[in-house]
Amino acid sequence: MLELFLSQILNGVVIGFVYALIALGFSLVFGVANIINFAQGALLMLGAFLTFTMVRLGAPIAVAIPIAIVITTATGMLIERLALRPLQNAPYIAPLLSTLAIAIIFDAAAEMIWSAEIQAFPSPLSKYVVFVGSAYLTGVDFLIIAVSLGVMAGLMLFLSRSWMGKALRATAQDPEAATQMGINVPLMRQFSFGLAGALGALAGVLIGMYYMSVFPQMGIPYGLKGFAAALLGGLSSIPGAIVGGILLGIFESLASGYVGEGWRDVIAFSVLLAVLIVRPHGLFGNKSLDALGGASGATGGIPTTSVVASMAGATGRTKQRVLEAPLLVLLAVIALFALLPVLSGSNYLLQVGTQAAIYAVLAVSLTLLTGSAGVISIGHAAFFGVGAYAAALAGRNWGIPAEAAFLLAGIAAAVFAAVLYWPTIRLSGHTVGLATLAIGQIVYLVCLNWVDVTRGPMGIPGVQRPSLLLGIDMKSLTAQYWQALVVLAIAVIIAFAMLNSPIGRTWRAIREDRLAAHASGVPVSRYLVLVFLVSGFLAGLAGAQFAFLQNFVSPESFMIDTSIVLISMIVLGGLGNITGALIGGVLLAMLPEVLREFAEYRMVAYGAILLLLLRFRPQGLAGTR
Amino acid sequence: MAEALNTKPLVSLTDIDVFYGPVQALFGVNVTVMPGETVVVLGGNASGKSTTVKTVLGLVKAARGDVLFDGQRVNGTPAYQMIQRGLGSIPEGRRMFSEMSVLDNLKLGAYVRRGESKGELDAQIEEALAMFPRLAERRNQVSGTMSGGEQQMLAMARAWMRRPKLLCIDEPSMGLSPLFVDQVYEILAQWKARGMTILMVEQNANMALSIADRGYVLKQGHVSVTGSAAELRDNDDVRRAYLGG
Repeated sequence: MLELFLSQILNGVVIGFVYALIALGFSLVFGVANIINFAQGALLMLGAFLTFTMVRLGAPIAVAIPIAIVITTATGMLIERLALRPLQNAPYIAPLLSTLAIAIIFDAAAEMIWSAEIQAFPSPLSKYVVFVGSAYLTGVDFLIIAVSLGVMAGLMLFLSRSWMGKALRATAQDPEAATQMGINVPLMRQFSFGLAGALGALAGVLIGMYYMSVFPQMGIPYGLKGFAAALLGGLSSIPGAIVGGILLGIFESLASGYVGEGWRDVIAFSVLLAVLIVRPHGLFGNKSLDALGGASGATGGIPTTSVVASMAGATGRTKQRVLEAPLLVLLAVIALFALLPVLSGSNYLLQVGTQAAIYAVLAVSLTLLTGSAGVISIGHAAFFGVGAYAAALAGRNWGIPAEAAFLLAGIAAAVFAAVLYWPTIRLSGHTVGLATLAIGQIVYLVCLNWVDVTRGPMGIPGVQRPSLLLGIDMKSLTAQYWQALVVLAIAVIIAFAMLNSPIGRTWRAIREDRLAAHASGVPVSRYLVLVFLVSGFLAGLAGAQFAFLQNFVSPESFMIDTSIVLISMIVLGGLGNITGALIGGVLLAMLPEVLREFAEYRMVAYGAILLLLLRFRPQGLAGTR
Repeated sequence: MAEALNTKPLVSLTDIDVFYGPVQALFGVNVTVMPGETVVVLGGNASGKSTTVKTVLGLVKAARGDVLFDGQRVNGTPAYQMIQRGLGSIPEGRRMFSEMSVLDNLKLGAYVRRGESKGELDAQIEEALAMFPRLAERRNQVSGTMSGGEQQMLAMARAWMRRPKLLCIDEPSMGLSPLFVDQVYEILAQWKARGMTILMVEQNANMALSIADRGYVLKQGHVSVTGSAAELRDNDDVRRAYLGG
């Protein structure tokens, strides 16, 4: 018993050092460039895979690692130059989503290049073993500890002693003052991305050696763990990152030892969430996170907390043209689409049409939350998934008729959204993005691992469609198509009514300036709970419709990819704009069909569309509202 | 003054227009500073006086007109390069590197001189601390924990570490107690006496005109009055608006 405990602790400490490295890269970029860099994990994955490839091509690993680190450093700096520097005066939400888009593009590209499989990573040192009682440490463990400590000591000296290090710190503390000392602030930002790339690559290689394997999707989970470690340690200090990393390592190591390996990441992301909610200033108290959502103090004007307003001031948006169709027009268009089965009996078209309607409902649901109320949700697939699983379980396990399952799915998702997201309500801006991403991942992992209820990766087959309604057999695809359109019409009516009422105006007020909303006596949390309820309800309906259409649900449909596609949809259409959400939802849902032969490029395309939109048309096709 | 007529201006703004988005902040503003001069820009809130200095510093970009520094056109040159070319800045609101010590703040003031020998820089830090005894007592204190007046001293010493050809100052007396205001102006007078060229923006017209050679008064983005410090003090409009009768 005690042996298991000791060996789990040792494992945790070792992997914790790696997390500390990731955390440092994250903290550096966060401090200097003031953004949460979701691409941090992608750089980690890139470093690991570059090493893997070079070794496979015959290079000695000691040569491959430095080269991989150099390339990853350069990539980090390139990301800053291409995806972030042009967004200096873009809306607040843009840099956050931009790094997310990069992460997705790297992820998908890596799957195309190296296949989605887990690859064996060379780990020559793992054959040396030292026993500590009944627990043991391998050569890799010693390497991890030695390298991490060395790098951290070097970094500490660099930051406190060198001119460059001082300039980096100065930029982090006050970029405008730094400029007036003659410091090239954009270069410092770029440099921080380079450093984060180097740290990420090193961490990636160490992870590869530790687990003796690498896989293309490793970026996002390890990136999130780096955030968790950094937040736990309080973001700004190197010792903090070490403590945060080691604590996280021990937590998840114990979880995997006593609960099951599948729960390791659930624990890690729960820690992230818990820190964000309970102690956003970290164990050692540091308020730098406040800068990502709230007033920045006495110097300078108070920045807007609006996710759609431009950082250069709202002045640029005044001339914006917004395309917003009246409700009747929207309903008429939906009615026109209902004629499709009459015009063509093609099952393929109906299938695509139903999918598009489901995505349109999801986009409307997300645009209420992210667009109108300004709560950046990178985990919207969780609402969708809860709805789908609720509908599937209701029919299969509890014998509830499919018609009632519909409503149940909506209510389940609404309650889930309101209850689970309730603690995140006081977060805003970028941090809420981090929290929702973590929740999204947790829900996915729970669906995957809670085999007793969800049947895990096998999914739930045989989901029954509703049977008869108004004398129409609802089991046919045509009927499902119509049913999806009805759900869409309901979603549009609800969203329209909300957004054009005082409630919608209050949501927008909270988005534009939460402090001002508080100060005007708006019960902010009540309005945010409301938006979670409504958004969750609509996503739950979409989930049920999805379950009925597929006759099957599995965790795969609710991965982070889905959440990102949804964000791309609402950014494409224009945040907070129902017409825009419908256009974006339908267009992007059709995209993989149009690009059939390029299906594997799908996620790259979504990422690229998001990236280009943020750069060139952040207001989307129809304009933000 | 006779020599000054023969030399070229250190800084000249000619017909400058500046916009913030769709809002125009400066309209055809002309300002020059000769070497060795102390020039003050006066004006009320939102008159464009800070914008004028920010244009010189390269913090805002002129949509029209010429910005010349040391005889060269510098329109669009980013601020950090302007500092490298020889400007020094005491920003509005002091802008400390608030988690760093007094010494580190001073060192960063000499950032563009980082190629020089450590001995040289350390000697100048000691000189700066001798000039501001209050800072000398607090050399290892974290700057964010100091009082506003002490921070203003540090901001001044930090800019002085640059050994600037032209020192730009934005509202040095803002939010300071009268005692500190006197101290600030005492130091500025010393620097002026040693030949430093100064361009400053100030609401406290009385104090500013006490050390300035010349001044400009801005009103809604236009230069409304210009002249020697004495002329401005005697100008009825200026007196009514900025000198309290």
